Order: sequence, then C-alpha cells, then structure tokens
Amino acid sequence: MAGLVKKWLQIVPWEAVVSVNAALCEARKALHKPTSDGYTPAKELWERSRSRKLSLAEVFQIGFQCHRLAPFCNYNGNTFVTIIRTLLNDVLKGLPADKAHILRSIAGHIVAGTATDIERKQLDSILVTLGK
Amino acid sequence: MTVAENKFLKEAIKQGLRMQHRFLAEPVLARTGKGYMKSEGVATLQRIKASLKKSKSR
Repeated sequence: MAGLVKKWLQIVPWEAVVSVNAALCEARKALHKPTSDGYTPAKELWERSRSRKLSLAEVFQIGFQCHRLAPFCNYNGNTFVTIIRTLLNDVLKGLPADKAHILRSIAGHIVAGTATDIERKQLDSILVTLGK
Repeated sequence: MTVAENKFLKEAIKQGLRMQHRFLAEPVLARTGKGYMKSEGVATLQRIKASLKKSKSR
C-alpha cells in the first residue's frame, strides 16, 4: 500500500497535542499543565519528527517516547494514544474491519506502553501485508 | 492551524473522550516504565468478525 512512509505528523502541530490534552483534562476536571522536565524534550521530539517521512512503526515509537517523556501533568497516555490512533484512520479505511480493529488496538497498546511480544509480532505481519 | 489540522484535532478529541475511561490520569509510564491502558476486551472484535461472517454468507 502506497503512502505508508510519509510525513505522518505534519498534520498535528504541537499546539494540537496541547489542545487534545487540555480537552481530555477538562473533561475529567484534571489539571492541564506542562511538566517542568518532560514538556520541552517531548515538544522538540514531536516538532522534529513532523518534517520527517516516517514508517508506521516509527510513528508508534515516537508516540510512545513522547508519552514516556510525560510533557503534561495528566492524561499523557490518552493524549498520544488518541492522536496516533486518529492518524491511522485513513490507512484503516483500506483494511478489512477485523484487521483494522487489530491494527488500531496494537497501535494504542504500543503508544500506551502495554503491548505484548505477541502484539509486536502481529504488528510486523500486518505491516508486511500492508506494504505489499 | 489549517483547516485539515483543525479537522484532525476535532476528531482526535472526540476519539480521546470516547476512550478516556481506559486511562489513568497519572503519568504511570514515566514513573514506572510500564504504561496503563484498560483492555476493551474481545467483544468488539467478536462483533466485527460476526458481522463480516454474516455479510460473506449473504
């Protein structure tokens, strides 16, 4: 499938990441505030990656790294998982519904930091299929 | 932000709010190296597979 390597993050400026986190925090009345140690490195990683052509595996990894850096006081996990999953929407349209569900789910688990080895292997095989 | 960026943002927020119950507010991954995301179970996948089966048999 063409278009699997592209500038995936170009459509998501850092201010959009901040807005997603703000909305999620507001919904749960949680504090929306940048962290002193994680905010700047996560922002730099994100902005640097926006201009790069990335594979899906790299996009998931950047989502995971930004999540781990914890740029916000609350809901870092949901913020990056939801952004990466939303980015997948166009790719998923071209897949059978069950495969799309599995890919969306694995992507979420990787970014959340809960993916199992089995899921990683499953992802590899889905990506190989997509690349054909 | 451009129109496309705004559209993406709205969709992301919608999706994020829909699955917010599966996350903890605290930065668990940063503190422990192990993240948290509550499983949604197999019900959704089973439903999808059943509906695919149904549409194939038609």
